[in-house]
Amino acid sequence: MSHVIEINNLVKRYKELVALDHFNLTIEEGEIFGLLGPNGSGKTTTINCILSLLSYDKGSIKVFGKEMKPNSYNLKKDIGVVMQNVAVFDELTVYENIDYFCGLYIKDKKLRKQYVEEAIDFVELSDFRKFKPKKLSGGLLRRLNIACGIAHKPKLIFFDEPTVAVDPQSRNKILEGIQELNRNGATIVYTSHYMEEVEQICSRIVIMDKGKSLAMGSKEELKGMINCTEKISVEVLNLSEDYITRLQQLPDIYQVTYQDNLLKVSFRGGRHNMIHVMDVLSDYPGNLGKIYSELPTLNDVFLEITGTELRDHA
Amino acid sequence: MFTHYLRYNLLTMLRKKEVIFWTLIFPIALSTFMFAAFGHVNETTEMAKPVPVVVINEQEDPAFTQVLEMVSTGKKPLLDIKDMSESKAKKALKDGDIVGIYYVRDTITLTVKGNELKETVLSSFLDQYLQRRETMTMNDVNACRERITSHGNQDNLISYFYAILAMGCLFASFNGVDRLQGLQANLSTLGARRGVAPTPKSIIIFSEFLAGLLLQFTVSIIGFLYMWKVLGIQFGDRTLEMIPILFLGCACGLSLGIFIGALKIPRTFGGKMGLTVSLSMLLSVADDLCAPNVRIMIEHHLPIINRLNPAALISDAFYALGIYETNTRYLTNLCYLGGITLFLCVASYLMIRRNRYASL
Amino acid sequence: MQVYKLFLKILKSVWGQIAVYLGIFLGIMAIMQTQHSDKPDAQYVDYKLELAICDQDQTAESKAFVSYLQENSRKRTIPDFKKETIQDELFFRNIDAAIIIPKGFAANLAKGNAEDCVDTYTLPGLMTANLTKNRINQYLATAITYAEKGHTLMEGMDYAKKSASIHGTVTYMEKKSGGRTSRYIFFSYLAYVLLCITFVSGLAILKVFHTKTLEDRIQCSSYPFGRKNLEIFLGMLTLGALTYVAFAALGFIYFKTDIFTQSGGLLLLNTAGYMIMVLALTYFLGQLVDREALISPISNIVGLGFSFLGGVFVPIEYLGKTVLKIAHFLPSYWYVLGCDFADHYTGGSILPGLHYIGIELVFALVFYLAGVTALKLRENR
Repeated sequence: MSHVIEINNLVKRYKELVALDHFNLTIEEGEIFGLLGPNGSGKTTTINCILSLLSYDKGSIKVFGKEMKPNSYNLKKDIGVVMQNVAVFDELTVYENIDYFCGLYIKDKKLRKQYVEEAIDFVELSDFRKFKPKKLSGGLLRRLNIACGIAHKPKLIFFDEPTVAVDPQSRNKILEGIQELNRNGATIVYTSHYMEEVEQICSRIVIMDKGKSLAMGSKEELKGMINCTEKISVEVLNLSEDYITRLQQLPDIYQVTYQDNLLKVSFRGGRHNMIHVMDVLSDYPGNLGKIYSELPTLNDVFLEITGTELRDHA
Repeated sequence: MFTHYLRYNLLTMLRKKEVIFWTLIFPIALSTFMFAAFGHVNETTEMAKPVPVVVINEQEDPAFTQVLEMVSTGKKPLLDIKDMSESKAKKALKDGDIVGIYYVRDTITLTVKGNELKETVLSSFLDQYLQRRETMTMNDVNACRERITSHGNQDNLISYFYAILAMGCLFASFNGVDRLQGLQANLSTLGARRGVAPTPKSIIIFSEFLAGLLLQFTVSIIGFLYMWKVLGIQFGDRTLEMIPILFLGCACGLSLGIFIGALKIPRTFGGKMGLTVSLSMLLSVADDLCAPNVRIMIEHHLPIINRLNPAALISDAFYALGIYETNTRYLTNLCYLGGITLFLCVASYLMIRRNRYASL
Repeated sequence: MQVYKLFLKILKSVWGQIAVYLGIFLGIMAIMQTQHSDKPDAQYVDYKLELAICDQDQTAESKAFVSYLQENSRKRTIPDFKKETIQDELFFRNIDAAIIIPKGFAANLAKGNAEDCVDTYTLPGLMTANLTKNRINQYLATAITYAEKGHTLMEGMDYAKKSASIHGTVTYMEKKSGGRTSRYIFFSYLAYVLLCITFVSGLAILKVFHTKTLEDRIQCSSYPFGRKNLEIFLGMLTLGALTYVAFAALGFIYFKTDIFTQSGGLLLLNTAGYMIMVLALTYFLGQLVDREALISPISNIVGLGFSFLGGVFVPIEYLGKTVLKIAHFLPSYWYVLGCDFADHYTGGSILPGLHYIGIELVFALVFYLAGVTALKLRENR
């Protein structure tokens, strides 16, 4: 696999604020690569630097093995962008918008027409082809936004928070669509602050905060970086210290917390941890509420690295 | 690809009805107001027509009567003598139906209401009669060799209509700013999306420019035709040569808008539009839009401003076409307009090509 | 007073455009100052031709001729006597005629040959052209006739000059009320500037408040609806007051103690009435304008329409009968009449002046009610 994107030692400052702080990144061909981080972590800044929209202070960026510049038209023709904000013409219909943007990349009229039709089918906007953007709902508008960015079948596609303010049904469709594009050969760079999305579709992820790369790898690798491998939660009223002490003595125990009537027992490895917890609580005089086991999430990864939750910043 | 851009640029512009509507309606409305207000003012205040007057003969003065007869008949009569009683004459004078009353007594006197040109004609006539009677000068002399033989409309109020046409051309600058808004990544997301497309900025800008020019030029022509055919403004007999002025004027206005759009300051679209509106108004006012003789005053004191003001260049080109026999001044103004357009376009292109932004 | 504070913040952001209109007004004032007279003549005086004269002959006779021409006209200096320059000066009415006395003028006249002895540049078909030529012809005819009786040409010219001092008696039918003073011009042009400034700022502010999302958000808050409207009303009053005070102060700077007279007071009162009408009109138009792109065109069309058809840019006496009928429906027309009355007021009843102000206030009420209706219609929709 060759590097599609190579970023070395990238530094970007907005006056005193360091938006990207010696940021390094490589993205391989065929990946769905996720940039995960809270608002202001530098995800969109990274994208805009790669696309040569933003100037940067230090470092280098290569796309498809070549240095990326504003006039790198040969590189740009294989890149598609779906921006965070909807970027379409209010005066053009759905069909005309997709045709316009596809026309920036594909000169051949017949081929372009075919691509436009395929893009409309892909985002399921066939019933709305003559509608103008103002008449579309938020979800449909996002789909149009996507169609405009991918109609020309690029090899590298950037999705910058494409599911913001989108209903769950449309969100699922978008994620499925991205996976299909990847199956058809496109390398995807996906930025989001929703870890569930990133976990669902990305093959490799970088967790960012304050312009730095905190951790990079597949979701399993990232989760393997942290100490907690399983978290068991139990709803229980007025649990005494004695029980907490006994739980802390279990094998492979990592952490025990009890707050707001919710007991959380985290394990570092081990097997049958649920049985061990139930054993300890078996002589509890009161009733137990919900009992469930969770595998660690990327939020746990972020929490362990930074001390704060992703959700706190989102 | 260029035709693809051009087609969609025209389509988006045509569908932005309010911009076209106002750039068309505004000059039409303004010219209608102006025409209604003073379309015929000069005819009544300046043009040499027989001056209506009443003569009250309280005594007989055959010599004066004979002279009056001579000047009120013939091919170009000086006076239009009305026959009415003194009381009716006084009322007519008050209402403005006549300009004065000659009272023929021991002396001949004149009664008037104001002291404009028409009253002066009556007073001068009386003076000359009395002087000739005194000096017994009977012969006439044609001492004046007139040097002005130009064609065209000498009615100076036409400069207001030239100013409206020029302002209409300058209004193309709004379109220019608007188009550039959608081209710059730091002003709109649409600009960012177009910024990552594999098309040189020169092609994009040129197609935007051409589409804008076609549209604005059409709008200008419609405005011009309205003034010429509907309002009946006399633009002279060289109307075909006015077309290149309108074309270059629109190009200049459009390039001005593109230039303002490309400037780093003001940063926001609202700020750029504000600057465009203010500049268009200032340039138009400096071109006699609101008050007369501003342009000639600037020409006396700071002529360089008139050479750089597109509105003044457009108006002056119209004026030169109407007044002068040679084309030198007309062509010079066209060259200035072309030069300014080229400069602004090149400067804009240099500002926005290969642009990376410090922040978006 | 959140809404009121927001109003003022937005007002501050449009100060640039306000400054432009202020600059335009000051510029126009500077020009108009040079083109009027402040003192009306009690006695009739002829219109003085504006002449540019070039004496290429430079003889005693030509100088005498020049002296005669300048005696009853205004001397104008032009950059040069090239044909193009003269044509420009004529077109823009800087001069009524240009006269070039060529070399050999005196010699030709001495031979009794006055035909085509002077080059004139005039605009064909105008009264000024005829007046100029008649004066020249009359003078030279008299001079030659006298010289033919055995005198020198110089004596003939002296005689012609003396005879030119014979004038008929011209009287005014009634006391001339006087022309347009600079104070009148200042206040009448305010009709245009006050409209433009208030529109540009007021419409921009009202457009923000009528943005649907913002309107909804304020409506959902605990901010009482009546209080919001009251604060917007206060904001409009502030805008009107600031604009009015600024121009009143400008008037004081221009005219100093002339403002602190009965007539000056009437002018200020008339302007205050007009300002209230402008605010009401802004309020009405503010209910209709929902796009920033419309503000400037609306401001200028209404401002220029009111000014051209209402007698601001073109004196009322020059307006045609049809236009005058239309003008009666424009508040600017009544404002201009009020300015005229106030400017010439020297005592007596002020009822006519109050009448004009009253009409302006009626217009204000009509526009305000129209605005309220438009607002209700929009809300119902």
